[in-house]
Amino acid sequence: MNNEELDSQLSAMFDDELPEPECELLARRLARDEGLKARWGRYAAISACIRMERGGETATSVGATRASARQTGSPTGELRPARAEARGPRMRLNGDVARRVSRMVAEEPPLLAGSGVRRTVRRLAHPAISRRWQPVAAGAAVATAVAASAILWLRAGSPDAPIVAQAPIEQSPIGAATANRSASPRVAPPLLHGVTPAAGLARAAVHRNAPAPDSFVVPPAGPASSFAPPIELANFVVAHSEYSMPLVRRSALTALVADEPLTDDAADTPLASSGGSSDAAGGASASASSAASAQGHEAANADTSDRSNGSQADSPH
Amino acid sequence: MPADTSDLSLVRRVQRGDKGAFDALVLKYQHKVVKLVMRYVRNPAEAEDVAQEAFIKAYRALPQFRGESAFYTWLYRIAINTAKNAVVSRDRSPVEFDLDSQNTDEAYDMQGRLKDSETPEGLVLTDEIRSTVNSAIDALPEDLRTAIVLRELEGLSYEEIAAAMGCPVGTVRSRIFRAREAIDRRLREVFEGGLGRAEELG
Repeated sequence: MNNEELDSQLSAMFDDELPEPECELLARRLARDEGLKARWGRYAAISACIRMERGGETATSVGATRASARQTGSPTGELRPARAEARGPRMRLNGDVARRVSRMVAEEPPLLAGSGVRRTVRRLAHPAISRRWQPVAAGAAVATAVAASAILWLRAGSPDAPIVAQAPIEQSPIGAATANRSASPRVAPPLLHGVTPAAGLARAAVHRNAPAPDSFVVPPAGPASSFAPPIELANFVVAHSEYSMPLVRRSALTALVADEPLTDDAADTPLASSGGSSDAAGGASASASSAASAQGHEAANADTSDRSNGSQADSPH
Repeated sequence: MPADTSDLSLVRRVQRGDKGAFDALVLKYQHKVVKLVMRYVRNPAEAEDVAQEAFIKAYRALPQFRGESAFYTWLYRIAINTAKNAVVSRDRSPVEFDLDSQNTDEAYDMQGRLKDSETPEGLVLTDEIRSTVNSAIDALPEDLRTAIVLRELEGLSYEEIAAAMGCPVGTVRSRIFRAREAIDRRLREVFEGGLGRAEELG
């Protein structure tokens, strides 16, 4: 395509008289070619100038002009220009607005498809808006982190938590041996008390994966419960209870009894974990005795700890 | 042929991220927008500021433009709203006047007020452009002059001009192009010389 043909197309495009396919191609070239863009701008200036200079006389004479053009095809004398000094306010035609807008648009982020999202992103990416929302975003992030930590901490301490983690025990020989030793099919009920939806789903998944009901076992009591106090702490509280305030002592003892690790007997009681009934207390005391007997296997440790506790009990703080 | 084809082609390119296409739209409509805004604000310099703001708003809003109306109609609405907001924010009452008004006294009065706010180099360049365009049009052959004036002043389509002049549409297209080329040859010298002078002054 030679330059004249290109310029002719540009002129037709300026008048919206170029077919759409050619228009698409030329629009692409126009956006890139600075020389073509400058010519396009001059066409606009010519157009503005003609309208500005001759608009006044044309309003009254154009009808006659068109009629004359139809009749003779040569409207000589009908379209004599009004002189520059005749009418109208002055207007700059040097394209300053276009240059300023072009500079500002160059600093703007490019437009993307998906207008709504783009607009939101652009607004949030604006420096002033971004500065305004930074404290809020930081506060929200801190609050979210605290809430997540609290949830994780509570879930780690709840009796539901170990279930998923210990699910593989069901498949292990140790788990099977424990199941045979207990030989009781009623081991699951306490775990269904006060469950969260997530824990319930996880438990449902465990149930679905379980090959047989009798292989589902409660993990053995002991260090599995993070709330179960070590024996040293229990002994310490009992030994020093006379020096503490009654209310605090009662609270500590209640917590100790209520958070006693689950044994087979305690696990059979649905309310054992709540600590809210005499049955639960009885089950807890029974579990305490069984726990003490279980700890008797660790003779050396138990003796040492008893001695140390005794010495601690003898020496008031 | 649907109207606004060239504008829609450019708009689609801008929506795909081509900023150069938006330059073409600004070049095409800057004079019209400034002229429109001058109905609301007091002087050309302020009108250019408002027009600039309107174009930036239009650029940011282009993703929402669906082509249900002509681009210039949509742009003009933005420009008018921007001008009204500018007037309100500056606590000024709008100045209503018609640039094409037949009232000579009003036009001269406005011209006198505008003269003070224009920069000297801007006025010189504008006057030079106007006189160049006028003399170039005067020098055109009759058929070219008729074609370009009917197109620019009346906004007739090529088909309507062809019917009015009794010639094929292709001839009209050619005449308008040749008329523009003849004016542009003269105008190019002014722009290049004027811009050079402006840089020297700056």
